[in-house]
Amino acid sequence: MDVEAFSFLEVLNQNSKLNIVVTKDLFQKILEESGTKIDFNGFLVDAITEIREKSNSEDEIAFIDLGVLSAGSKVFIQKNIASFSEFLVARNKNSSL
Amino acid sequence: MIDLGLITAVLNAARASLELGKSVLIKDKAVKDALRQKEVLEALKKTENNGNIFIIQGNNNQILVADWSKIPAAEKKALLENFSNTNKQGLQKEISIIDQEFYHRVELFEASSSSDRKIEKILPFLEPEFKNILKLSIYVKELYDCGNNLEAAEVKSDIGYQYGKNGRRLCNLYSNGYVVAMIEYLSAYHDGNELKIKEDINKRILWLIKKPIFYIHQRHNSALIVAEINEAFHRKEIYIAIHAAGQNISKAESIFSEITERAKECGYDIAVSNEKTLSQTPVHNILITLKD
Repeated sequence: MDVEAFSFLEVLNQNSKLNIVVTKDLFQKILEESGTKIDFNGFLVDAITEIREKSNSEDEIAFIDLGVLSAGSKVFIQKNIASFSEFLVARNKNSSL
Repeated sequence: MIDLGLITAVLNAARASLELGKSVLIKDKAVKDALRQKEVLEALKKTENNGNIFIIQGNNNQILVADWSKIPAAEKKALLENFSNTNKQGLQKEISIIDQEFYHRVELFEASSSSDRKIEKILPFLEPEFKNILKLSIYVKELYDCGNNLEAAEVKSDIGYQYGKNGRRLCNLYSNGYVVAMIEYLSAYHDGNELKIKEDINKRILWLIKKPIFYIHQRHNSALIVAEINEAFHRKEIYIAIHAAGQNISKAESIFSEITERAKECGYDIAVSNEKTLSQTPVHNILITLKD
């Protein structure tokens, strides 16, 4: 079986759009590596300030409800298509500015 | 049926590259499709490196597999910089980390091409919340039309979660044809004047959600509307309205004839107005108000 392999950096640089699909456990690991941790009540907090993070709908967001973490600062999107749709509208609006 | 053996064989072939922290491009279509299913990642979590294996969907739907624990720290940093609160460079690239349980729903939604010509026309006039609810309502209809009832129910539930009772009601009003009927009425009422429709429409939608207001269309089931109006009488709603324009007027009149007696018995005043727009389209309005 032939294998074509790239460095992760090449993948990052060669693609204008990337969806990184992860298990819940790996999601938690990546969040921690990016400076977000989960508090005792299951909510996402900034690892340094311990202030609760807000979702794109401006609500505090529990890790269990997190569906997508999007780039462009740090956008937490709930595991909810209505919330994801709002995010897409906002992103498209920003990119057309 | 997902062939986990085939996926394992592909991963075994890629093992050396994955161990070196490389991302491996998947060329086999069956494997590509399988890897996008949540059950597969869940199964891989148990057999492959404790859940560190993940999927990357790139441009042109390319699928790559990588192992998070093997990616060099500097390369991880390059990714994570896009998620820094202070770094705005990420705006240039669309990078998302997605929970695999949610991924298939995101994919389905992004692939949707659902539209409703009549609704699309007025979307730019709508407040963001109404706009999103109606876009999602069109998507719900598409899902039902495709027989994906499970996802349709999920999206309806998401609308309820995000926008509460108003969201659910607007979605139902759309499904039952009341929103399109309202747009057609408004278009006739304002002679297609977009500025006037724009000024009027958000207020009308709010009333439609909050009050028993019926914009009648030929497609509507009269018996259902009569039943809903009788329900409103029972709840002692202080304001009930029936609107129709053009060819829909006869249907409105027939509904009206069926509820008139009950309205009077329940202590309602009835005011009927017949108007004509500038373009001579007849407009029929029935306002039913509870007496003091």
